[in-house]
Amino acid sequence: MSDKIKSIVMTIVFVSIIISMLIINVFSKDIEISQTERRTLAQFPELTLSNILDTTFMDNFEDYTMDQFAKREAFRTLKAYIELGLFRKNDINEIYMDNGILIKQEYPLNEKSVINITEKINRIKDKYLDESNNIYYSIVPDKNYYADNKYLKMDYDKLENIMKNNLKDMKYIDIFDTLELIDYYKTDTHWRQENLEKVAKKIATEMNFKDRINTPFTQKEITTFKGVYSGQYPIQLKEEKINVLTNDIIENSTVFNYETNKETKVYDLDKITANDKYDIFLSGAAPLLTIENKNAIEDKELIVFRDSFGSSIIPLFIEAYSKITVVDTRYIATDFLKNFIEFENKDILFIYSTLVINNSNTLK
Amino acid sequence: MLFSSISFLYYFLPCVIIAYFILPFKLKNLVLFLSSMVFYFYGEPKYIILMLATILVSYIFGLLIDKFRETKLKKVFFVSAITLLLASLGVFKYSDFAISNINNIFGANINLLKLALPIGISFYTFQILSYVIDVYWGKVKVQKNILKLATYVSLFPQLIAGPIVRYETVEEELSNRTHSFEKFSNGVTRFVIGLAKKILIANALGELCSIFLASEEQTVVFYWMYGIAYSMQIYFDFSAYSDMAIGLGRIFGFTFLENFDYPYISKSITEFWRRWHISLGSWFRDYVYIPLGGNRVSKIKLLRNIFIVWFLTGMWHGANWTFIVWGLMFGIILTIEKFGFGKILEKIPTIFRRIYVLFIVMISFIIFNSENMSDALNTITGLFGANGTPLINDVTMYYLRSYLVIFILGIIGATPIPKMIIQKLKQNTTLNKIVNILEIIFVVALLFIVTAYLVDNSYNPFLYFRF
Repeated sequence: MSDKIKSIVMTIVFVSIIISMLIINVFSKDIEISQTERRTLAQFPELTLSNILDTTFMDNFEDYTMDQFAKREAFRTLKAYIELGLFRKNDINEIYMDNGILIKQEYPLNEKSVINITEKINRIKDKYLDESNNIYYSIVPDKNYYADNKYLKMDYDKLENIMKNNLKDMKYIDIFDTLELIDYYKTDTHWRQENLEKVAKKIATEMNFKDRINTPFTQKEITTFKGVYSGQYPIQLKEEKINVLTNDIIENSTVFNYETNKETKVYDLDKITANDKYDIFLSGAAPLLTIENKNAIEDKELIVFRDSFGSSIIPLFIEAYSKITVVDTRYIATDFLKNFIEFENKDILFIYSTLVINNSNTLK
Repeated sequence: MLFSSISFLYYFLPCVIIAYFILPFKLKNLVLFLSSMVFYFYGEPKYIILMLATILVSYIFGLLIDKFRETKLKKVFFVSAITLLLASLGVFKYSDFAISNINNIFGANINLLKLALPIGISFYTFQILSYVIDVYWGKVKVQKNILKLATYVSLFPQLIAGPIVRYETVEEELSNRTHSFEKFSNGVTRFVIGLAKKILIANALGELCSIFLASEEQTVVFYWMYGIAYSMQIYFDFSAYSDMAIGLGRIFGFTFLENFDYPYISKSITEFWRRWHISLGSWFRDYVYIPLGGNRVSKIKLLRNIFIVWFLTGMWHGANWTFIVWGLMFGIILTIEKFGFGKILEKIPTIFRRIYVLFIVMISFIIFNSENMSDALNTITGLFGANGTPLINDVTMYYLRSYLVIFILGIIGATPIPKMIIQKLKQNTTLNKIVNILEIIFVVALLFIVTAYLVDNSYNPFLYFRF
C-alpha cells in the first residue's frame, strides 16, 4: 500500500469509526441495569444551569458516556484479555483466577477495622447480654485464605488474634481448617451451602446443639448463576449451580422479615430472578429476620449476628431451635434491637466473614 | 475535558471534525474557537471568563504596543500587559503559597484565599506572554483579528497541558493553512499513539505508584520500582499529551513543534533539558535567560541567570517548595556540568552517563511527587535501605511480576528504538507497503483497546493539568 493510499484509508477508517460510534451511542436505547456488574448504570444527567455551572452535569455525563457506551460488555472483556494476556497482570480489579476459581485479593489486613468490629460486638454484649446467654463467635475465611500463596493475602493469624484478644467471655469456634477452596462458588464471594454440613456440624458441636440435629438434608438444584466476581472479572465463564440443602423441617419453617413485614420460606424462590441469586438464601440482605420452626424438639432460641455468609449456614441450624433471630447490623442500629429482641436465656452467635471484619465500617 | 475520555473521543471530536471540514475555510477558525470554548467550558465553566479576559488584555495591549511603537508609551503598555498577565497567574496560582510562607515566617494569621487553580492557566498565560513580548520586540506582527488571536490562545489541542505553542509558530497557519489526507492521517496516528501511551502505560504505572504510596510493606526494591515507575509515568503521561496535541494540531492543519525528544536516552542533564519539555525550556531560554544576558556575562551574573531561570522553572510547575527545590536542583547540576563536570562526563562510557542521568532524574521526580521535603527525603533514603527497610518481600515480588511487562514496554517505548526500526523498514519500498498496511491495523487496534480501557475506566489522571 502506497503512502498516499495509506493516508486516505487511515483518514476514512478513523473518521468512520468515531462518527459511527457517535451515531450509535446517540441513538441506541439506554440500559438501566448492568446484570454482570449488578449495578444501575448512569442515565443521561439532568440538564440545568446550576448543574452545568457547578460541573455536576459534566461529571455525570462522563459516567453516562462510559456506562452507556455501545457494546460496553465486549469492550470490558477486551480490556480484561489485554490486561491478562498481553500485560500479564496478576489480577483485574484485585480479582484473580486460581484453577478456574475467581478470588478477590483481600489485602492488606486493616487492623483498625478488626478492632472496630470487636468493639461493636462488645457493645452488643455489654448492652444486651448477661450470664444467661451462651455466647459464641466464628470467623468465615474468604476464598483468598485457601488460594495459592503467590497471591497477596491479609495476615489471617493476626486477624484471628486480634479477635481473640478483644472478645472476652465468649467462645471462639474456629472453622478455618474445616473449609477448602472448593467449598466456595467459582464466580462468587460466598460459600456453597451444599458443602457446609461439615461446618454446621463443627458449630453445632461447639455450641452443644449437635444432638438436636437429626434429620438428613437433601440436596436440591435451584438454579444456575454467575456470581458477583464474574462482573468484575469480565472473562466469559460458565454459569454454576445453586444447590440448597433441605428437609421437611426447613421446608415447614417460616421466615418473617421485619423490614418488609412479609413472611417467606427459608429458600426464597422468588429470588431466582433477582440480580444476585444468592439472595435465595433467607431472601438476601435484611436487617432483622426471625425463623420459626414449629417442629422443634425443644423450645430453644438462637440469635445470630451475621453477614451474607450467614444466610446459607443458618438454615442448617433450624432443626435445633424453635426460633432463630437473624440480625445484620449493617442495616440496623444496635440501639434499636431492644425494640424487637428479647435476649435472655438465648444462645448467641456472632458469625462474620473476614471480608466484613476487614471492612467493618459498614457495621452500625 | 480530557482527551482520554469517551466524551472527547466519541462525542466532541467527531462533531468538531464534521463541522470543521464541512464549513468553508473562512469559518474554520470560528469552528476551532467555538469548539475550544466548549472544550474549556466543559471542564472549567467559571474560569472561561478569566481566559477570555486574558485574551482581550493581550489583544488590546498588543494593538497599543504596536500603535505606540515609536514612543515611550510602548514600554508602558508592554509593562502593563506583562504585569496584568503575571498578576492573574500570581493570584490564582501563587497567592496561597505566598500567604502560607508569610504566615510561617512572621507568625501572621492571614486567611488563605483558597482559589481553585484554573485549568491550563500556566500554559495559556505563557503562550500569551510570548505573543505580547514578541510583538514588543517586533518579532511578530500584531494580530488585528481578535478571532485569530483567540483561536491561537484557546486552541483546544494544546490549551490545557501544552505544549507551549508560540504565536510565531502558528502565526502563518492561523491565516493560511493546508489540509490533506497525509496530514490528517499522520495526526490520527500520532494522536492514537499518544492516547495509548497515556492509557496503557502511564495510567498503569500510576496505579503502581499509588499502590506503593498506600502500601505499608515497602522494601528497597519497591522503592526503586516506585522511583522508576513514577519517572516513566510522568514521561509517558506528559509526552502522551504532547503527542495528542501535536496529532490533533495536524488534523486541523497546524504544525506544533516537538515537546519531547526521548529525554531518557540523554547522556547529561544538560542534554536531558534539551529533550524534556522543550517548549518550556526554550520559553525560559528565550524570554528570561537570554534577556538577562544568557552566558555572555560574568560568572557571577551567569550563576544569577541560571538561578533565576531554574527557580522560575520550579515555580512554574507548582506553588510548593518541593517544586522550587526540584528546579534549583537542576540549576545546580547544570551549573556543575557547565563549569567542568560536563567535560569529565564526556570521557565516561555512555552507559554510565545514561545511568547518571536516569538516577538524577529519578531523584528529581521523587522530590517532584512528594508532598514536602521530609517525604521526599524519606523516599530517597528508602532507596538505599534506610531505617532497616528489607530488600524485598512477597508483596514487592507480586507487584514486580504484575507490572513487569508494563515496565519492559515502558523502557522500550522511552527509547527511539521502535521508531528507528520502522524508519529502517520503510526505506525498503516493498517493506514500506507492508508497514503501511500494518500501521492502519495497529492504529485501529490501539483505538479499540484504548476505548476498552476508557469504557472500563477507573484511573485516569493527567499529571500536568495541575500546572
